[in-house]
Amino acid sequence: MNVNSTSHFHAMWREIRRDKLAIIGLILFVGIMLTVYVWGFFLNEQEAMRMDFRNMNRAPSAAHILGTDDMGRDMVQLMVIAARNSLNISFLVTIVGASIGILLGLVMGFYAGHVDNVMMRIVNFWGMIPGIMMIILLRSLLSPATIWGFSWIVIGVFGWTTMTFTIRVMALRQGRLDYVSASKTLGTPNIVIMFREVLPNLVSILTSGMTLVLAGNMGLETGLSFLGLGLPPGTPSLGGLLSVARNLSTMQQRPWQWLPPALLVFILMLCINFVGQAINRSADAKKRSV
Amino acid sequence: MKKILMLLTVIALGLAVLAACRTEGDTNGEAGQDVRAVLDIPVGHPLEMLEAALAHFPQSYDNDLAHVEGTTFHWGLLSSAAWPGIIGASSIFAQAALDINVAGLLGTGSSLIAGTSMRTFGEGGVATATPDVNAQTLTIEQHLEVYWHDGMPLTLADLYFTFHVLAHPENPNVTRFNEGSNRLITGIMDYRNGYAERISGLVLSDDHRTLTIHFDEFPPTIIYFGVITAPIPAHIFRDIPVRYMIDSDPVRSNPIGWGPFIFENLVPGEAMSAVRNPNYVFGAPYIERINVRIVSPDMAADAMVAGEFDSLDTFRNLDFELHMNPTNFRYLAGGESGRRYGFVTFRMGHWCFDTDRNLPGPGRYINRPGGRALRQAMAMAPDFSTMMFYRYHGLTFPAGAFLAPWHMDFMDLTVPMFPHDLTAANRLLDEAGFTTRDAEGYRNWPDGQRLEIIWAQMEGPAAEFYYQFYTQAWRDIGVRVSLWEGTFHDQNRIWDYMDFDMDDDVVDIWTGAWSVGANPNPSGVWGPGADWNASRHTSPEWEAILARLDTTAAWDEEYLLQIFSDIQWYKYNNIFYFPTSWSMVLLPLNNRVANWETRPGTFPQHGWHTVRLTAATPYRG
Repeated sequence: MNVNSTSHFHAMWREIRRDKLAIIGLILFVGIMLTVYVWGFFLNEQEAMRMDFRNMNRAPSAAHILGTDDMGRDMVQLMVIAARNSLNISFLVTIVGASIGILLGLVMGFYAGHVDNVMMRIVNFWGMIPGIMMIILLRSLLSPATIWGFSWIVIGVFGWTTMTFTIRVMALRQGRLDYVSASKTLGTPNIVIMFREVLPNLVSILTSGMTLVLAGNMGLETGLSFLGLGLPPGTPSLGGLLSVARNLSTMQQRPWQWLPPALLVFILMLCINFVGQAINRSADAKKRSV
Repeated sequence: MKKILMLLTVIALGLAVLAACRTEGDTNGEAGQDVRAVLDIPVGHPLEMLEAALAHFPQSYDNDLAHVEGTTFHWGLLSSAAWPGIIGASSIFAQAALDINVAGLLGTGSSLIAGTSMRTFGEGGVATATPDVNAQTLTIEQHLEVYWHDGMPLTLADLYFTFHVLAHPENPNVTRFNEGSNRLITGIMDYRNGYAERISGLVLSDDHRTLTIHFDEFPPTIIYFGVITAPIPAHIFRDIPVRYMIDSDPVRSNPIGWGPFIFENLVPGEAMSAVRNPNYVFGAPYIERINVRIVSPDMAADAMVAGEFDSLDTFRNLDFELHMNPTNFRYLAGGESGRRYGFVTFRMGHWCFDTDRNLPGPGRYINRPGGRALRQAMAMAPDFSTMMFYRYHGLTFPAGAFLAPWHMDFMDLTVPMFPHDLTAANRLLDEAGFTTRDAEGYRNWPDGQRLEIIWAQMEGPAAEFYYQFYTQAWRDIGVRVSLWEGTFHDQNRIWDYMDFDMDDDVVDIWTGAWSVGANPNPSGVWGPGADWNASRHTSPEWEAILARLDTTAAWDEEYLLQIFSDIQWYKYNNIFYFPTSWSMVLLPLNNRVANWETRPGTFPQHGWHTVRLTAATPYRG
């Protein structure tokens, strides 16, 4: 009774493959990810983070291809660690946020009626709270000491409402389809219908949604860290590296300290967005070009 | 395809900019060496380094250009935090450097007595002070007619009143009272403890033109402005109960002073403006109006280049490298040079609210068995010398003694400091029993307990740098140091936390920097009664040494030097804090500003009232 997912994904892949921008984006993104994680794995983080007084603020040279920061640390190694932290946090926030969204969205969409009505009010109310303000407030109240503490705050405030809405709408539509009624008649438990029969039909929407949310979360982390509200001291992130550009003279005279991380953030977000848009388009049969 | 091209163009553009910067960067890469070549400050004893740094910058500037009437002076005060905004009665209530700077403009905290180049009581001010060692009196005589901004005459009765507010039992600010030699005035303790209506040692005569101050002990440090000499207006504050004064209108929003500028407007936490006082006792200022504004330390140097300010209260030495040859402003050697030092403080006691004193806290974390060796090792671990040489190029350097350079005459240079030596620091810890280590390689206390020092660090542009600097150095000797609540904090929040000594006080160390006053007596900041003494350390031995300083017998020079030597040895042996840095303080001055002096002892010939602005607006770089 399921949609034949193999051919569905096949069609999706065919669509994505036709989009050269998305392919370039995908290759670049995977390339950067591999570089960051593989290199990061072999990198001695404590050594890379160590200050070197004699090499502070060095311009790019053979020894330091992208120069050094104000603590004399190699910018390339620093960017690898920073990008890994930023990617980690973006992935974590996206996945956990999506999980909450899936759970709530499915329940609301599947049961509909009063359950949907009540939960919708709550989710709507939550969605109205200005997120950035809440993050800043929580951040100063809780002073999270770890990377994970910070990400939980962001998740709690932001991560899940959009995803909940998307899943709910799709689940509402699926819930009215014949296969769900048939399964119910056969006596399949609701939880099984929800997760084994409805959910697989939402995977494509989920993937495109999560990809776009990932780009958003990346931007969020960068922005907050740039403002000094991001990761705890001593934890480099792309936004944190960018924050040296707050000083005008540093921005003008030491571009190697902020331009590479800025470009990296820019490229990463563009890639994720291109891929996400392609998935989004290909997941919807009406938007496909073939 | 168009999109791809666009994307590639954007990326290519970015790389091109980077490449362009690289070529530009090659010249900049040498910048570090250039600064050292420009300054050429040899690495030697910090006192010599300070002298060499001072020699590179003039201490005054003047030219022949005429003043442009109706101009506004823009003054920037560097701060990462909001300005607490204590602008009235500053001589008693001011806390932050910002408050003190503004007090000089408005005359809410200006001394009636001019200083000499040695920073002792001098001639030429509104009043003079004559010490009489045998009689143990200080006689203050008023020579000039002065008026408060509201037109009321200023007399020594105002100063008389000021002493009574300062020593009042309900005055919450004990710091100023404990500074210098105020507490040695005859009868002041009876008054402070509520046994007397008046301070019996203060005698007004000659129609409030003479104030004779009698002392129980008459130490030599009195002549270094050892008593309060900046009056607050008695006619304004007379009707306000002392305990409410600090939050009253005349302190917070409508200050009355006698200085060269009259308060006009305040934007709480951010800015203030003041206009010329035509009746200023030393002559009306040339400047029509002055705007004071808080500026983020990160932005200050560039704001100076952009012509937003005529001057800043300080200039970060870090910024000098990027602004070595400014076109629209010049550097003077700031008057703060030699007053300022940075320090790391260990929290070793508590504040007792009943007696307004510091109390030793044997139970405090840093006082556990082995604590002294731990503190010494922590002082030896950071490589201040190398770091400061490459970061500040000789403008900031490691502290050379436990006293500030201003008090160089009292220094005993045979007292050792804590030279950077990782081996010795590690050996010290091993010998003290910090031998077991946890999985991450950090040491445990000798009794096996987990060692974790909690550090309160102020937020600001340099916070991350110093966090990395200190944690790295202390990790090298196996000492785990974590930030209080895991993050940096607003300066005001740390001060409040330190001041109130809550029961959950978990902070063990605190880093900061401040400027000392003319008076070499350390009681004001490190004494038992100083609430600024963030270490909260005191001991009978320490109090005995400080008490010797407060005696008439200390006029004997040899004895005085011996006391200061003991003070330094005590600080070295007990290490409740250690000084980290001394600084040359730069003062940037826009090219339109003329007749500026930073040398001590030049007031009232030079001051705010003699400064001229030779163009309508600040020059832009």
